[in-house]
Amino acid sequence: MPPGLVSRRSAGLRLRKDYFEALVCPYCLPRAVPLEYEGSGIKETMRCQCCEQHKATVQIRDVENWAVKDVILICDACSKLIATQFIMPHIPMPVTREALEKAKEAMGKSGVAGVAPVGDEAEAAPDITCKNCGMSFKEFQKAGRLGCAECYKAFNETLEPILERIHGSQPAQHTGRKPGAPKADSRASVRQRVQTLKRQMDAAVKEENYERAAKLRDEINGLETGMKE
Amino acid sequence: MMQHTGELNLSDFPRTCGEWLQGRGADSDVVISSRIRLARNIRGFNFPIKMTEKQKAEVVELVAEAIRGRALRLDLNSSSSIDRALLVERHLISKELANGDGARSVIFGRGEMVSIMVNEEDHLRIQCIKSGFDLDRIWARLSRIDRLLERQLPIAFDDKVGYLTACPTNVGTGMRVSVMLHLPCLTMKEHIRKVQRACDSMNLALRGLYGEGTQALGDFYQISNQATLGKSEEQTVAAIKQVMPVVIKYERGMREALLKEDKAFLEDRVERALATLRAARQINVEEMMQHMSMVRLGLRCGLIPPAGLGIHELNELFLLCQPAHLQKHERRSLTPEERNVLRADIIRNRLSQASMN
Repeated sequence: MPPGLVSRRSAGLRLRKDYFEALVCPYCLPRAVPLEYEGSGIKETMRCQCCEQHKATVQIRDVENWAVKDVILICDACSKLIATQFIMPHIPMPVTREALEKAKEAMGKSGVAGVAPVGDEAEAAPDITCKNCGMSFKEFQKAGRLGCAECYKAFNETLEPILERIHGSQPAQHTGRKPGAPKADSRASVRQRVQTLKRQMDAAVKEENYERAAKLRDEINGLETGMKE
Repeated sequence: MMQHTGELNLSDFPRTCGEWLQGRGADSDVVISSRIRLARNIRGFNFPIKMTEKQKAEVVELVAEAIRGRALRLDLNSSSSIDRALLVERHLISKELANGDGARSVIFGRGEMVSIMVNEEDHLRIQCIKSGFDLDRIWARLSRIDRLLERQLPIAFDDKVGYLTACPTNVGTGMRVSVMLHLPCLTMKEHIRKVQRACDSMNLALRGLYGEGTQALGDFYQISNQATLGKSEEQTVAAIKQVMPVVIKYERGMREALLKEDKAFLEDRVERALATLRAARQINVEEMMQHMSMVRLGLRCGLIPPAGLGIHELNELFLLCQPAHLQKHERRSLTPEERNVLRADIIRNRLSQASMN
């Protein structure tokens, strides 16, 4: 089973035994529901919308802005295939039409439903690296964690659609609270000031402006003694 | 004055339990506890995954400075694995922090309601946990702590995507609101799927007690928010507050119906569970939780006289019988078999004391 995916039956819910065990990521879990035929308008004879061959056994709901936008019916084999189509295997992601199309395409290539295609698409994509912390996008895909705050900017293009899908929010725009500025005399602020001054001092030394470098050194020393006290 | 909680304080732990297990607060017949956590990172440092050991130590120190004098602090890098497991069982730290490496710490208040994990997945994980269903007060308190911290530490923030976190699933508010529920009757009558559907339509997650991959042990469930970007903190809390009364009413209704229509069945389940706990000579955590769930239900429904045994005592017993608590209590490491015997002994003792009172 790909990492980050759990089987529905082990999801902590007591489901009837005959329920289909779909491979979905934890995030999809509440959305991938076994088909209910009664009163749902879904007929038992319906085919999988992915392979169009097998009987549909699971429905996946695409949720956007807190409302069900789309319902996809797929079969066992295809749900496994779709599970491999997540951009980020570690980052839970709802299955969407887009993922379905990708799965269809991959199936056209491999010809066999249920066999996960090799991630040649991912291989082909150029690997971006964050200049600040040195994390590459591939590394991020593997770890599922970003290396630093700057990664958000470095990977912005790829990350934005991912964020939109994870959070079901379009556009990906924060609407909550904002942090205030820290007090100027807090230890962290002083530490940052020291770092800036050190950079300036190094620059001054390089320019052979020793007078300025000495002034900066005194200022740094002053701040550092203040911090120790 | 900052205090390193050494062996001394942790040894007292097995005798008490945190506020979240007191069984108090609103709707405590169904809601065990409510919790909110915030993920925050300090500007100017890489996230823990890309930090050097020196930087990690520096962050630990910076945070300790910022919260000076307000709480207990424990350095996890130098504490034993049993101590760390003890903190996990008390919901003061996560498994990830317990099993992590490098400089990392936890800072918490004496009531164990507020705890701050340092260098987990993010630099800071601030949580507030309280018994019963009381998200407003939790958020008010957490919000104050968050404001206090940002007066001392520069927080990584972006106008577009909000608070920056190591995992993109937390970016935005960095807020996870979760409520722990005891739903024995909905489980018994197989109505959990309806709760699932209600959560589903609200974009909330329903999970077993210990997250994915676990059975809904002892009929305990967690409901939490999924999205952290695009909704404000207040909206996130409001979404949970909207769905909770429905679930609570549903479980209560099911309890009443069962009491009215099939009291014998309910009584049978409760009494058998109590008898097993009173008689067992060895018992594992799973079995204990299943029976305790029924005893809890019996207490709440008035099927068991509360003489000497209340929800609070039951919770205390439940916590004391967790693996790390047992070992801390015994002051040595125990094999699972030894623990099962000891657990059964303690439960038997406590229950017989309770019935004599």
